[in-house]
Amino acid sequence: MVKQVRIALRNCGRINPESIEDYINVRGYEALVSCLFEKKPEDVIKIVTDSGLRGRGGGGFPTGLKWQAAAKENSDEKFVICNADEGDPGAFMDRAVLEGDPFSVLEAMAIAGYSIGSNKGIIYIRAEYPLAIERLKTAIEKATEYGFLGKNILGSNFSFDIELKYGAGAFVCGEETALIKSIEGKRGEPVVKPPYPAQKGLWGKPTIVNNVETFANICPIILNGAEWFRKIGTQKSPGTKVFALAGKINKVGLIEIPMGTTLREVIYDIGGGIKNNKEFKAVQTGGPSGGCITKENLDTPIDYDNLLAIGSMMGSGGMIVMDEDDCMVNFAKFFLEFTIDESCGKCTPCRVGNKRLHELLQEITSGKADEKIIPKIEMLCNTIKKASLCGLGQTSPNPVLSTLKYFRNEYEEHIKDKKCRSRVCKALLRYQIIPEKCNGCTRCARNCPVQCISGKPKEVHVINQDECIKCGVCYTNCKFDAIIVS
Amino acid sequence: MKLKGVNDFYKLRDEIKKNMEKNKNIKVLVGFGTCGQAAGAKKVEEVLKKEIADKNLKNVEVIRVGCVGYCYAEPTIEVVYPDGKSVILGNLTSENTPDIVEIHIINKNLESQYVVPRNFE
Repeated sequence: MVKQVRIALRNCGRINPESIEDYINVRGYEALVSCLFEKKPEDVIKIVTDSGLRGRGGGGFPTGLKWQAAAKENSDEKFVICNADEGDPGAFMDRAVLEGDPFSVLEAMAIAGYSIGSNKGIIYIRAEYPLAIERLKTAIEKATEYGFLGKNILGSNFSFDIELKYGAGAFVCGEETALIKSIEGKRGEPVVKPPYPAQKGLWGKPTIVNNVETFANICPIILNGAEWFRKIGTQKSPGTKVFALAGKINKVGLIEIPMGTTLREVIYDIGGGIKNNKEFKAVQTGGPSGGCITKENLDTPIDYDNLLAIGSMMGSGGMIVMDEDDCMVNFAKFFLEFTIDESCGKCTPCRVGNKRLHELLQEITSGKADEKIIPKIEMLCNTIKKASLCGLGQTSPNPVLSTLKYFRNEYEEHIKDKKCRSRVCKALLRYQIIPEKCNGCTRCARNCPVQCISGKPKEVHVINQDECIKCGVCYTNCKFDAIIVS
Repeated sequence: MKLKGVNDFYKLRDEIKKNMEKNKNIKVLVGFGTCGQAAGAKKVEEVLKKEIADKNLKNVEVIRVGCVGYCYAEPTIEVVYPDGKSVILGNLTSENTPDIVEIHIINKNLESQYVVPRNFE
């Protein structure tokens, strides 16, 4: 049985998130005290760099390097931003940390501020997280009351304040440059990098933007040392990762596993296997920017580089498990719909390209496509990837590309045979009455919304395929299992 | 209370630790994240508190905590005994909560059909 290792979630569910005493009892604020009184800022950055901690928001950029870059800059003002704009469908890792252990994020932000020479922290949090906001507010109030935030923290000459800034729920604002624009009160649109935020960020000042989970890892690293952290996980991706395990799995939940754990262990050991003993089909990681991982890669150790190599990505931690009942074309279409809704519209490849891509998929799922469509889709995907301005557009075709790579046969079935094996794409379904089972009860004919079922009482009924809208009402209404779907 | 220096901090920490050690209560941790609340943790908490009051149980504390991660079994609680042992219970409802109070808080049983297998240390 594979065990989880809890670093970021170490206190979640264990302590009262509104009690600073509870937090201090589990070594809270010891890391900040040791930084302020025993370590120089460059020492702190060295520990973080040596630990090999990489950005947990999904990018995987080394946190220490980000801090170093900002520390190097000379400026009258610098900013520490905590990115709590968690937006991937089905992902709630950051919410759990903020609701369960808000002080650990505040402490880590103060440590970051001390290291890079900043006195101002901002938590950019979605307004859809009211409970997390409330607990953060309580935590900030208490931390200030005790002198862990504010002027001259614990009598040192380091001062640090944290304020909350609410996001209005735009997915693209999780991208760091768009997030900064949003804090400045401008439209949440990404800008071209470089200059990186570490050089010119919020209000043109050096800024570091780190994800909630990244911050949640900082205090244990300071307390236990870089070596300790490096012993967990893999060589290139030390530490753990929190995943929100969802979909067709028995034990959905929030899990934290050491990097290097395989998907098989996650799904079958921790997740308890696929629901209703169905067959595993794929798992999707990385949300709308990620891809799917199939049976062949179940034994790949999870880390940033391995997931990229097999055509998916780590992402922020959403993990959606699919079984034989899921149609991969429809699935790619679902994520594309999300991208279209969330595209900010600034650059054409993303705004128009994804819309056109969605229309092409729509042709496939409605049975109107011919064989020339696949090369067209591939070309469009590659154009969107190459020409989009920010990460949202550059990665938006990934779900399409990865399903095309691993489930090309399903696309071809939809196109050539006009068939959806998972019976998800309604337009491709065919409802038929089995004459041997039909006893002419008339129930289907009476309930059909387009009156396309004919037959006299007590005689076999027939569905007129040309008029059938595939609503499935006859199927659910038949008491004698006389209707089949194919 | 504003801490003015590093010594203030250590003094406070030691004091907190001493108080926590002295505390021999049974702690009932209710998963009270957004997820737990959506699954009905509030109702469960009410029933818990009422049962504890009705049965006149002393030395039992009900504490709201964040999400523990067992989404499939929400709402969940964890009962932590004074000796440090603990047990996680899932799928609580207002109907089965009195039963759980009886088994795990009054009789301090570590096993029952409500126990959720722990998947981390």
